[in-house]
Amino acid sequence: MIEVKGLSKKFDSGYVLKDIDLQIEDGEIYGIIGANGSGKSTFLNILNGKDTIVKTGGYEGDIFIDGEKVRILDHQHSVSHGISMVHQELALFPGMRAVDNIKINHENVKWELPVIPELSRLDEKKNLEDAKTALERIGTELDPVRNIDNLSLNQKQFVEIARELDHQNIRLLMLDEPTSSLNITETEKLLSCVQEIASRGISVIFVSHRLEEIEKICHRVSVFRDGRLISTYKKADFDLNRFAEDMVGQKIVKAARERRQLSEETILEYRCRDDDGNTLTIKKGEILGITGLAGQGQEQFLAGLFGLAKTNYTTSFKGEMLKDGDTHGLIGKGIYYISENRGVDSLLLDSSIWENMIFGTEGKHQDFLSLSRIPGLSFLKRDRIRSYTEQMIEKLNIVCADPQQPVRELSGGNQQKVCIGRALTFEPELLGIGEPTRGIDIYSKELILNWILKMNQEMNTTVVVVSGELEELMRICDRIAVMYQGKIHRIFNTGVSPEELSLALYGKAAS
Amino acid sequence: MKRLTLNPPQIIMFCFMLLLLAMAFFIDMDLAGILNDSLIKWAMNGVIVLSLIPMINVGAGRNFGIPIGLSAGLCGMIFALDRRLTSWIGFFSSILLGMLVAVVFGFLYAKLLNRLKLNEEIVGTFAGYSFIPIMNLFYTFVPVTNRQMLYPIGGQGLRPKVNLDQYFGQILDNFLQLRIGPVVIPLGLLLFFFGIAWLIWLFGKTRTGLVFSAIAENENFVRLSGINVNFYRTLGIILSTVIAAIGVVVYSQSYGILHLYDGPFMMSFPAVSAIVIGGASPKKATVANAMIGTFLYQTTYLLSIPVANALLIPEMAEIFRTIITSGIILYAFIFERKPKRA
Amino acid sequence: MKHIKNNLVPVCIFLLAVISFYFADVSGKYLASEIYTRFIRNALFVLALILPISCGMGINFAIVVGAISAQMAIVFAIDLMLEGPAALLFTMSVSIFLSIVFGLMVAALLNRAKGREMIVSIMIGQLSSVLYQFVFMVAFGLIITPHNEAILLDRGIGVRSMIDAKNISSVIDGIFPFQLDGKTYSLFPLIIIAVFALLLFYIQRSRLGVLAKAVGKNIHTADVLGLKTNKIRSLCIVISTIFAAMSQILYVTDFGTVNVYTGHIGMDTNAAAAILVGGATLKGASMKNCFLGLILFHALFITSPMAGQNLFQNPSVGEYFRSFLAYGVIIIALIMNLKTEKKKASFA
Repeated sequence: MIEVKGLSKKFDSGYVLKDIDLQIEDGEIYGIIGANGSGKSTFLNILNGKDTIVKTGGYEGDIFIDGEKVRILDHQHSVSHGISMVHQELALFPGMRAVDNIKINHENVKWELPVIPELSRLDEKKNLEDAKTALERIGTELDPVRNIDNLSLNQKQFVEIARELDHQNIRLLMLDEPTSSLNITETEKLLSCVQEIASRGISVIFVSHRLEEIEKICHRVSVFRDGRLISTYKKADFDLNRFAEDMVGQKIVKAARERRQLSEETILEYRCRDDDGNTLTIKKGEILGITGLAGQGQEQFLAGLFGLAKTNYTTSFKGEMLKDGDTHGLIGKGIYYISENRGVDSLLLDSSIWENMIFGTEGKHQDFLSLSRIPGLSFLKRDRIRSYTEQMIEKLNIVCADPQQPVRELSGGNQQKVCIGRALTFEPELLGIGEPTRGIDIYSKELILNWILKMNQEMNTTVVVVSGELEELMRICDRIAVMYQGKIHRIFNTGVSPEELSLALYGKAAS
Repeated sequence: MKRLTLNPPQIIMFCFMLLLLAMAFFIDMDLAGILNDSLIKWAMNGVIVLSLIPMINVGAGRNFGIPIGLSAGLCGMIFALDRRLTSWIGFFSSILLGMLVAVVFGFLYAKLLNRLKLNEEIVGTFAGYSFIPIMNLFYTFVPVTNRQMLYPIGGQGLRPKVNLDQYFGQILDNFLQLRIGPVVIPLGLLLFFFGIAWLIWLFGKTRTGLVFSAIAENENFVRLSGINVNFYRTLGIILSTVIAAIGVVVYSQSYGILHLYDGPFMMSFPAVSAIVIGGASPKKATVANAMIGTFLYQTTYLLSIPVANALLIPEMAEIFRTIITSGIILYAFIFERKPKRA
Repeated sequence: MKHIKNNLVPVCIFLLAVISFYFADVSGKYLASEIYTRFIRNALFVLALILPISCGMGINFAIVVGAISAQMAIVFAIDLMLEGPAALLFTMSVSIFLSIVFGLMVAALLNRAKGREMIVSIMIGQLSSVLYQFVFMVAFGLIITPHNEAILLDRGIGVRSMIDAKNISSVIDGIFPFQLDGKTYSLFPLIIIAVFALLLFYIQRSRLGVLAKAVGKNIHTADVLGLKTNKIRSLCIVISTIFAAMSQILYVTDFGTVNVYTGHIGMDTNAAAAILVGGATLKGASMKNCFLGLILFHALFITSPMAGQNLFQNPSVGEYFRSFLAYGVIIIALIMNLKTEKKKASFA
């Protein structure tokens, strides 16, 4: 039996996991569900002794294995206690054989060399046998000498599980979204394999966004929300609607946006290349929200438009097809994008506020240049820019020392305000924003949401917001599109209930 | 206040220089002579070091492919000498022709580096190395008619070292010399050096200069702002190549000899080392970095020669110079943050 | 056709070598004997590059450090006036010891510079080369008192630049002699190379071989799975350094004299060119690449000046051509590396 008591994890910004108590019986499949940022991954990382935990001061609370208290100090430690993890992104070595991948770091050797055990001779025969046994245990007839590169995704996943099962003393197997990239038949196979593993007395933690899988194989399910364990259900009590309620919580939902008459004019149209009718049209002057669970393709949706990521969509703006990655053309047409990774894509962290505010906007604002006839070699009109920036700082309420201050020194909220300021300087017709309020204090959140509304109302800017914050989307959006498995699952108008929305996140409709 | 912090290479160089100065004093050296030489060496090598700035600032790394720019300058001088252009006309037409050639070379070099982004330093090193044999072929077959530039007998092509005395040797060094007692200040040379430095500084303040430093800081951001990153990188690389071409003309007039063939082979490492000593980071270099670094580097070398001779081991000066050069560059690679992969 | 496309570099170099041989107008026997000499002098240097490539560190230009340890060991042996097999044994053991020490230092530096090991290894090679020169040019006679005064310069400080290494080269001369193109060669170096090649063959199939390959494929995954990546990389570098040291000993015994200050220079780029000419990439190299590359590169190396002489009445033309090749092939390797990485990225 594995038991955790009072497990907590604190980062600089506060607790991301607080007082988790749970027990997992031998041979039990234990499901964990929760929205993004609910603490699921942190929980797995603690048990797995990941560097992200170890190097940030470790965890609080206790872990017991068979009643014995253990302290997980690093990854090796976790492995030695029989805890294994199958990663969402496969941790396999390409170009190597399945057997090498299964036996890596615990290879059988013919004789062990002292001092440098790395130079010991491999026992190829025994390795092959072990690999074969491990693969057979999970019910695959895979030939262990096959090269990983030639295997299907499903087979790769089996190799990874086989590697973890090959650890002699395995007690607990943790699976993080193991089925996210599998098709239905492959998923079936994997699920029965997990059940098979559990039937041998190994405990399994199963994290998935696909509720039907959880329903099908888990013996118990816990719901995490905001770093806390909200509820635990036995198999008999499984109820999708209650899962959804627990995941969303009883947050005070501020009044949803009034329904407006949307303009008939289409400003942007996404069309799937596969042409399975998966299109999204954005009307002029609306605020459209796009949401979904982590990894359902919603970020790529916007980034793809700007050529930052490869997507399966073609885009037309006012009836004109857009070229992939032609950011110059996009800006020229009046489309601007604030990425969800503000610091990486949308800000120059080490440069001053004024540089961030006006960079690249000289095309629109010739008054910033002293020699506007030769824009390339022109100097900047410092006083003009300074007064403009000061004006923006006041307008957006940016808390800073002066316009010279590097953006890195500002708080997350103020950084986002600088992004909004940039957007205002560009005066776009269509503005895309990824996660506008991620990592931002409550006060700034309000300000930023209000500015999005203000830009929409006063400048008639069409806004596309990608966000995981349902409540915020419901406040500001005219329509909300939910993405599931890389596709647009449903589009809701204002006034949708939070429960309905959160079920849609899992690809379900309310019953 | 940030500007005043010294980095370890600077501290080491200062200490080393002070030590050498003390020893020089001890062996009763002609300090005025050293000062005169160091001013000339400073400007003579300074322009080549300045040429690193645009490439660092556009995020294309420290230019280990300097031989490409130098070869362009050498071509300029070959064309000018072949026409028997002397004095100022010779000097400036060398620079002009060299710059033209450098634009072409720089463009091709930029094509290569843009293809192999993030590997600029290793690519630059080997692009520079492999460019030298190509230029050697050119020197061997170029149809030059000026007999003074060709192998006297039995050889084919240009001779490895062409004397510049009759053309524009020391023309800048001797221009506007200012004598204060035993100290001779080569005002003309220094003014030319400062002039180029000033132009580079000025360029950094323009809109293009701003785009450069933004690219070095965050390429994605610049791309999302609707700016063609590769165009600006090409511009920066061409600019570096052009300045290096000017640099080698200035260098050669001081040296008094046009050094072809393997001349530019090992010139990138001292230049890079100098700018690192001056305090340049992998993504940001200022004119002041280049000027301070060159002065420290060259003066230290200059001081070490008489000291080594006094110790009866003349090879030591060169050995110390190379230890400093590669040690400093190694330091820069090991202790600077690794650039993130995009 | 597909085979040719996958091995474009070796095929091109082979054609060039054939053309060059044709114009050089030399006998096949002459070429064979010259290639044999260069083969035994350089083979182990090239083999030394395999492990660092397979563990993802690119070409280890710091094999110069191995050559330096061998040079030091040889000078020490001459200084101690050792003769015959004792000298050879002493040289080998001291150079292995020094290679381990220096190799660990190199590895520590390279582990701090992940992602740009190649340029850093070049700088390490340069720095260690001058430090070594400093020791023998300045410290010898000034700080270290030699036993054998004959190796010193007349001024009493510093070692002569050329020292006779008869004491170790004589050991090999007599063993398994054979005649080629009118000259006598020994088979013994070839046997040593074979022994080391077998050793490498074993290492590639030991745990280290698998671990190094894994680290080379994806160092991030290796870290996630708890592999000791730094230790594995260090081991590869140390072994590489030892191989380089052995190669330098073979070089000196074959050559007969030690070029104290310059004997180790240029070994790295020649070896790099050879392995890349043989079809290796920056991510994968095999012994096949090494031996093929050695023969092709040196065939071209030997014949190109003569071909240049016969075609253009100028031997330097061929020399320029081959040095362009030696450096250019590294850029080609970088370009090809990028292509395969892009291909991989589009698959994923």
